[in-house]
Amino acid sequence: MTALLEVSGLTVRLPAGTVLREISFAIRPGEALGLVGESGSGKSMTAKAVARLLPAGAASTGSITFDDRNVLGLTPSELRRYRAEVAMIFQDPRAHINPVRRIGDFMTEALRAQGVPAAESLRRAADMLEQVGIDDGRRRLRQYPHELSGGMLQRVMIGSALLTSPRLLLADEPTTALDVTIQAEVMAILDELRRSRGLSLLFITHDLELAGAICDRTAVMYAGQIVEVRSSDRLHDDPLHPYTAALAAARPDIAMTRPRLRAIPGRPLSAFEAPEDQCAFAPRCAHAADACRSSAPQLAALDGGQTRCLRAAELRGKLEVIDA
Amino acid sequence: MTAIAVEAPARRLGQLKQTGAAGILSAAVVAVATVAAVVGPLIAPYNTTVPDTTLAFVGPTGGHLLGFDFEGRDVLSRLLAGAQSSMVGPLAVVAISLAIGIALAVTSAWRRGATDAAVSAALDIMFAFPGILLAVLATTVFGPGLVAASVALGIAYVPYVARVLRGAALKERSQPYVAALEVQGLSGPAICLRHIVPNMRSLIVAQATIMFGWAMVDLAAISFLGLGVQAPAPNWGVMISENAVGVMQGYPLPTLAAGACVVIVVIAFNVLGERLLERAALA
Repeated sequence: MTALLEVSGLTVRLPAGTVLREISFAIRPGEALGLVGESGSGKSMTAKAVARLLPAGAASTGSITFDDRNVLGLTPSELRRYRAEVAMIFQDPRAHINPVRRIGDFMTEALRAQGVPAAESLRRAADMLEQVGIDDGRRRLRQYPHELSGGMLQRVMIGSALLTSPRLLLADEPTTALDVTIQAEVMAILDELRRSRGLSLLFITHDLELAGAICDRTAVMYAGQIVEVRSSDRLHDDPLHPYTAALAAARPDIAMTRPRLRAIPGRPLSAFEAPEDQCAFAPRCAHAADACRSSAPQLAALDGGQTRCLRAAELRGKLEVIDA
Repeated sequence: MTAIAVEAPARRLGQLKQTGAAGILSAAVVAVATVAAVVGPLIAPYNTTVPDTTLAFVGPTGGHLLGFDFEGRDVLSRLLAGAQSSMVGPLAVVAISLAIGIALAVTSAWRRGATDAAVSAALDIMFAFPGILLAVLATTVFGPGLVAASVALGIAYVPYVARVLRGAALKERSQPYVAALEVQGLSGPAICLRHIVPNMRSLIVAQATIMFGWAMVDLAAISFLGLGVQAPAPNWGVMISENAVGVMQGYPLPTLAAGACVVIVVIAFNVLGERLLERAALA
């Protein structure tokens, strides 16, 4: 198994504190990995680290390897080439497109930087707009971002990400800012274009079920750590980590009627608040034992997945039944 | 619904009334001065350099609206012809300080860290030297003239550009769209030149306008000292200086007319710059 992207032992410290701890995962060519977790759990920070977009003053240890290249050690010119192979789709398209430039300028910027002639770039951009479901591409290319709706702008962003033929897509909650019906449309377009091109995808979302539908495997993050990696089809029904189980139980389910959704007691911790010498989830965990509070568990393989829980083996199959 | 629709244009009209009159008047003065700088030497009705001492300090007459100067030359003609050197000097100062200042501001905002600290420290040191002192120094080293004085002033004004624009560039650099461009594989210089600098243009224009006024005063002062434009070439600063004797002799008009030209144009540039700055802040 040769991974396209391999992150191992990645720890990121900002001046304010540690935001990522010992992040390890790999994405194979053509594979989609979901990254789910609460706000502040470090999902976006992980994507930013992969795109080398960490804020000034961030210190990273560990390694990120893309196609046998050490991403953290790239020179500026190597970094530009790397970024042609890794495209990123952001949560809020309106903020991530220069508002005073035309759509055509935005979409062809990267192509022209690679030396593609302007006319050819525009032609490819118009074709791409059609592929992401925007008609009348030529006219759209002459419009400004404020003239397009949010859903359309996100499709423009997806299109421009694909224009340079990247090998890995980083999608940071690409549909969170859109309304529900548009979400489904945009997700379908993204999923189809990705599959037809055989791109790898790192998909960040709050939505466990969306991650399950889109991604081959899903990684669950809590307090700057990955607590579980599992194939998406088994994550929901057979979770390995108590946090994943609690997260799943806290979601409404269309097939089940419950008088009340079960919330996880306590509040989500930021990575820099999490205690270093114990399981970060222990204070909120219904299954925490003394051992969980005295040593920090490592990510360990179990039944085809990975989990960062000391009691994972003994809790197998018992995690669903938390409530009385 | 209708209330909102009516309110917007009414408010815009109110803003125009509030800030408009002085701004429009200033813009008109700037326009007139610019036209004079371009065509002044061509439309000056009389010879501007050949003296006729029999007419020295003769007051206004029908054909000579502002009378004659200390060497008997037509004051209005010299004012018109002098507009060119009086305006070109500040223009060069602004161009030089903008070019260097924008480059420094964007570079330090882009690279941050040690580069930013070094540039800021260098700017602090430059702030300590008054521009006019530097210009006088340059004219003593390279000889009197507009070029040496303008270049020296242009460099002395760099911190005023760089300090203001660094803040704006830092703000622009932290905009999400810049991160999106970075991850598209664009190089830093490309993002700076094609996105960050164009998006700061309203601030750049406003700052340039205000600095034009400062530069005009400083260069007029240098010409007044005899280190800038050299007599008998017409220039407002030179005219203030050479006709100053007239004030003691009861003929203040030539020197006051030249002084008024400097004051009016400088005020116009300042007011216009402030208005543009307000607009830049609103946008």
